[in-house]
Amino acid sequence: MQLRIGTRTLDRILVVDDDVNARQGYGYPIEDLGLRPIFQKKPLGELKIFMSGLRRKADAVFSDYRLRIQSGYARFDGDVLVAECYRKGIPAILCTTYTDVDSHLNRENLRYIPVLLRTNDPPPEVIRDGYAKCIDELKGNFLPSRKAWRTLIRVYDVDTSQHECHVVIPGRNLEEKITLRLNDLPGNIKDQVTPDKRFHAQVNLGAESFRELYFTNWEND
Amino acid sequence: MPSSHGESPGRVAMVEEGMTTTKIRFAADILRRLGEELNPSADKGILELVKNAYDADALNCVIKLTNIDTPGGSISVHDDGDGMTIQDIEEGWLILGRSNKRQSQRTRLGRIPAGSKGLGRLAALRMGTRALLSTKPRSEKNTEYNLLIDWADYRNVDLIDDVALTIEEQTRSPKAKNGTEITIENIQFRITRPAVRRLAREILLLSGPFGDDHTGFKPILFAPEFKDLESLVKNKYFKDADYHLKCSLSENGRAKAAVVDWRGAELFSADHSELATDRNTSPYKCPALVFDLWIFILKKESFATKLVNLADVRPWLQEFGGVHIYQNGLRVTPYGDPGNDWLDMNLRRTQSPEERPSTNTSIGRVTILDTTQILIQKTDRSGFVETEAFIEIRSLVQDALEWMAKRRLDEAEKRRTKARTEAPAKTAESKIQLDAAIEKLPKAAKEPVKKAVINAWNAVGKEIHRYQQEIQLYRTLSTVGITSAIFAHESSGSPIKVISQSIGTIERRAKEMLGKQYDAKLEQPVQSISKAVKGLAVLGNATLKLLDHEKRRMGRVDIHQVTENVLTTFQPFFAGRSVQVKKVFCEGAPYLRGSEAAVESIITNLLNNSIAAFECGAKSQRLIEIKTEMLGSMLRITIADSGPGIEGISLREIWLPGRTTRKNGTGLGLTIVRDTVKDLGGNVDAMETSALGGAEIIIELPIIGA
Repeated sequence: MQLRIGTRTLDRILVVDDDVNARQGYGYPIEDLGLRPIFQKKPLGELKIFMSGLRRKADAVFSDYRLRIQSGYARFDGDVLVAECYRKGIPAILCTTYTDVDSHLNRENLRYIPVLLRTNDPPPEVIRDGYAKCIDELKGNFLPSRKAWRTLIRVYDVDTSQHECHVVIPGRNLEEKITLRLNDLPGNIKDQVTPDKRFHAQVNLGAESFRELYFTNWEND
Repeated sequence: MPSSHGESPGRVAMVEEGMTTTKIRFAADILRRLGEELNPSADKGILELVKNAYDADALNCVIKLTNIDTPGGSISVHDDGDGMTIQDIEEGWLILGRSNKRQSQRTRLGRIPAGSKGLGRLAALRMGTRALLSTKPRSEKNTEYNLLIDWADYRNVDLIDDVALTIEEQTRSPKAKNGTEITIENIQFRITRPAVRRLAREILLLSGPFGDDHTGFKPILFAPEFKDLESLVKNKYFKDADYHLKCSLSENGRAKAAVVDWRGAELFSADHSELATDRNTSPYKCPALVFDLWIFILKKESFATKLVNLADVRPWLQEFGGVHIYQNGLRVTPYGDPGNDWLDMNLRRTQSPEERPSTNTSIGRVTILDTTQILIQKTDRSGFVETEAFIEIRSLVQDALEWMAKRRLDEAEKRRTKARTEAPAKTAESKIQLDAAIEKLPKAAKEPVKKAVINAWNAVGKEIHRYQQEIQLYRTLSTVGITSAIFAHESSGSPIKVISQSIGTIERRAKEMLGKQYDAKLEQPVQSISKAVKGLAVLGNATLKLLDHEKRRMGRVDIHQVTENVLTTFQPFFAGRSVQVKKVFCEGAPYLRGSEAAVESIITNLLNNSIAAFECGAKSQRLIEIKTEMLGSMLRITIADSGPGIEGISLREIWLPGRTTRKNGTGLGLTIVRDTVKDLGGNVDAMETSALGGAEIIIELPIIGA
């Protein structure tokens, strides 16, 4: 059976997880949707090469976040894979219950990860809705929680020992301090991050939780 | 046809039929706005006049402040430079907003001009009601020019051009030397002592207190506040620095650095690739420069072998410490001024104090030769415009500081390791020396001394043993913590994930396949597995939540909020053990300055103790009560339980590390509570039994507000 969402038809879903049992486990709800899980058993290798052959293998991707626990499976995490799929127009879902995922995710990559399922056991209908959301975004239809707005960013403080800074978005919530990793910032911004410094960036201000905020197109005022 | 507008004074010329040419002109009031609003303080304006003297190739420049304690005083700046011709005055000195100083053109003595635009000069000249210029040009040996500007003349006119200034040409005496004197009379306000002190400091720092100024420029300020500062700057302690960081950047953007000790012996060095690791070794895009930093360890031990006193060096560093910037030989403010920590040295030292200099423990300079004017100073003299070149300079200096900190930290770690291995040998050697000394004592004294020494050795030995045990216990617990974190990460990963996925699928498919039979036969066991797996995941998360590094940051901590968070984390533990928790919180949200981790460790350890106590038997129900009360500026937190109370150990002993009545207990929980409460400036006490029947711990913490 195939799943038709808008103008897209999904049939083969590539399931990516470095643990064979977990991979199998993610396959069950996909099967229950009537789709065909294709299990990525071989190491992923170079992302660029992997992506070049992806469309021949699958219509969409379902990936776990942590792909580097088992030796040699991947050189990158699931967020990098899912974001790259999005950039290439392939619907992709990221799934994880990894506790530290929020502190590891690159805030710029979050722009390209429309669906992050925080569960080990996603029900079939949640997966279906996830792909529908991906496809809608790929067509340019953003939910209010995902739509980006140009906004002022104020640096609250900088914690060089943790290579982080904390910022406030006055246009969203003056009390909310959002942690950003310095290494995730563009070079010309990173070098100028000091307390009270102001920048502009594109941010999805309507996100329900600060965990879902993404930051792109930084501008140095 | 000629324009009929010709009569208007605002229109200055008509050139062709049907066309009128005119000019933008300035109201007299613009002088006030330009001079006063663009230059925020008197000292900055005077400093501009001193820079003019530098640009005129003066060797000496005397600044005199007379009767400036009250309005009506005067300021004069007198130099022995090249002076000005009538053309220099008309085309340069009197033109505002345009500098006739081309930085690419050096002066006669090879100096790169420092002044610019003339706005600072305007601010200085307008401090009084009259400004007098008297200048004797080098190129005209017998001539001097005098010019008087009376600002009152500008009050009654509309436009600046309406006031005509007269330059008087006079014959000078054969003895009169070249140079310029500017006198500002009848100063309109009082110049405060702090402003004079600031001026004195800036003049002293203008060409640097580093003792290697090759320009030969000597500005001297005559003011009472100058004397103490002058002695400070004359005393140079660079040779007594414990470390000297030397970093240089070549014209092609490649950097190198070295750290030498007080004798000049190299301790460590780095090439470009090591310094620029964080930028993937790309070159620094800024002019060539040299960065020097002299670092002092302001401890008595460090000064024991030096010829200078700590009491002399400390105020010297307080006055001149920090990293100053010198562009083409002259200082650029405000870098290195008090309160200006443009390199975040103090912030970084606070975050990671070991082996890092602050602006109070070091003095340094960045010397930049910038002939191409890549670095542009802001019009109000508040530093450089933050161009890419300036950002790159800051980046390089910070990279050099970071590199030095890492290397010094490595060295400190090596020293610690060495001290740990050498300590036993040194102790044994001391013991031999002590025994030998005792042997030399008279026979009658020998035995009592021996006995006293043995007692002392035993006492010290016991103390050391206790510390060793404590350290070992902390190490063991740290290892347990690290291992728990890894297990928590892993168990919340694959094993729990696979069980969750499988049981979810079994539930879904079995319901579909078996219909009502599923409800009767499988629903209960499947739900039990699901519940148990969720419980496991929560336990793992509870461990990981304790490790969140954000919690160790210092800041405002809401005590009620932290307590609530800990209780939420513990909820699965409580549920699994049928423990009920009663909260009796006072009104408001009391908070203190500290780390969330500190408050969390107090509450967590006390809850852990209560949970463990219930295993030894509860009086009735398993109850924990957490109560908070405001007592003036203190918050009292009472945690009581319905366990068996404190048994088999005295109240005094419960706080000691390693003391526990539980098998495999660490005996560290209450020690951590006590130490943490003390760190937060509070008190802690315990009761063997409470109204609930079990132990009661009472903590009082000073709070900032509620």
